[in-house]
Amino acid sequence: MKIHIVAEGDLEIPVARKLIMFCGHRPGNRYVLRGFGNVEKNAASYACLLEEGVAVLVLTDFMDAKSPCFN
Amino acid sequence: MQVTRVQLKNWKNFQDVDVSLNSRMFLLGVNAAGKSNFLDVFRFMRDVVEYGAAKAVASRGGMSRLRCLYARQEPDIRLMFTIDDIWKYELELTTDKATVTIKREVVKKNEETLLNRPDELDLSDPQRKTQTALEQVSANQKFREIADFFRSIEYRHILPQVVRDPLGFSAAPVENDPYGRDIVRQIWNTSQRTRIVRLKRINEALRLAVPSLSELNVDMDKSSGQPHLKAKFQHWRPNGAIQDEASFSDGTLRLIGLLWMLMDKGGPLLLEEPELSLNEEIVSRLPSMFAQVTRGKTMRQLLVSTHSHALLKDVGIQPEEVLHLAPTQNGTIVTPPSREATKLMEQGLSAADAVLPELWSDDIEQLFQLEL
Repeated sequence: MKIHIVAEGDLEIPVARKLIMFCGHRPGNRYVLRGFGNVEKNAASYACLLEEGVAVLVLTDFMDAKSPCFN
Repeated sequence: MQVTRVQLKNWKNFQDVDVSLNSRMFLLGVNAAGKSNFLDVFRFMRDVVEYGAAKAVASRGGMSRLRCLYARQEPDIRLMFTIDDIWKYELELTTDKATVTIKREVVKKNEETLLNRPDELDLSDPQRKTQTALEQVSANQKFREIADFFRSIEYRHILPQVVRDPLGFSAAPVENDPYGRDIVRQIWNTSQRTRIVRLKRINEALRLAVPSLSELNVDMDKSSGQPHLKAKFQHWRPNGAIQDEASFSDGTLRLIGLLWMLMDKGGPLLLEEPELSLNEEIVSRLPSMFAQVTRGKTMRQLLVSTHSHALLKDVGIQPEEVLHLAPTQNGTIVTPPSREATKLMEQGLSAADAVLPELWSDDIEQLFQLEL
């Protein structure tokens, strides 16, 4: 299965690619959104790709968001 | 008038292209995908009308340079243009004993055929097949409108080095040079009234984009007979210093050239990487300037090749204004954005976020691992 990657920066892309390949899938397009703010704002827009049968892996660092799971 | 559809067979990188065009189009593709070659087909048509098919082919290195490298069984080149959804022009070129020959030339207006070559005259005099009807005033009377339209196509790719030193690149005078050798002279030759209005607008833009420059004008150096751009460069002296184009930065010259061209009237304007040397903030404003040009008084069609993330970040760019040029084993294919990219753009993402990621293969990351 092809899985697109949505990530904060270029550094996350190799990590995401390894994860996808480890799980036996194929990495698709790389959407580098440059920063957590952009991921938070736009990640939901990529959900529309599911209608095309394409999965999306969003890889981001929740530390920036001070998310409850971190606390 | 605008080209609304273009179909190409065996043209340079392209075996087979059939795409619709809007008044503002952005061509995206990796290096060597064929963006310049796609634009060149429009320049070629201009050259056919202006200088004739034989010279247009010869100036590009002959038919072997024009023919698609991927073409196997069909070696002939076929170009078809639909203009304003009214006119259709079709030209098929072949070689006959090393001579460029018109194999087919058809002109239709509202589906009525105005020209269909080869005709009886071509059969009786094969020499006629070395010229298109489009380039002959005596033969294009019924469709001169499209001959004039093709002639009005302009390609521009300003090179600051040649703007600064036009004579250093060719001593002979040039006219309408796509690289800007005569742009200062063009500005000088423009009627004074129009020139003042346009320079005023450019000065307004420079005030925001290049705050250190003001009072841009054009002045004739009587000793050399060469016109020069002059502007005031603000520095620590209260009155600043007057500089000419030789001292302007690359970005300043490109911006002046770009703004001047956008204010020009004419047919389709072909721009190659207009973002070069410009600050990202200015580049991000270019799509709205282009939109103004396509809608404003000049109503020009703009075909723009670009690699710029900042330019494509404009969410006003619609999926139907983007063409994706993708090299394959069988030549470059030209398509609108994929369904996935279109969906993302419909969700409000820009072409930069939706289309650019599709351009690159997985291998691109290896570029950064090369030992230099």
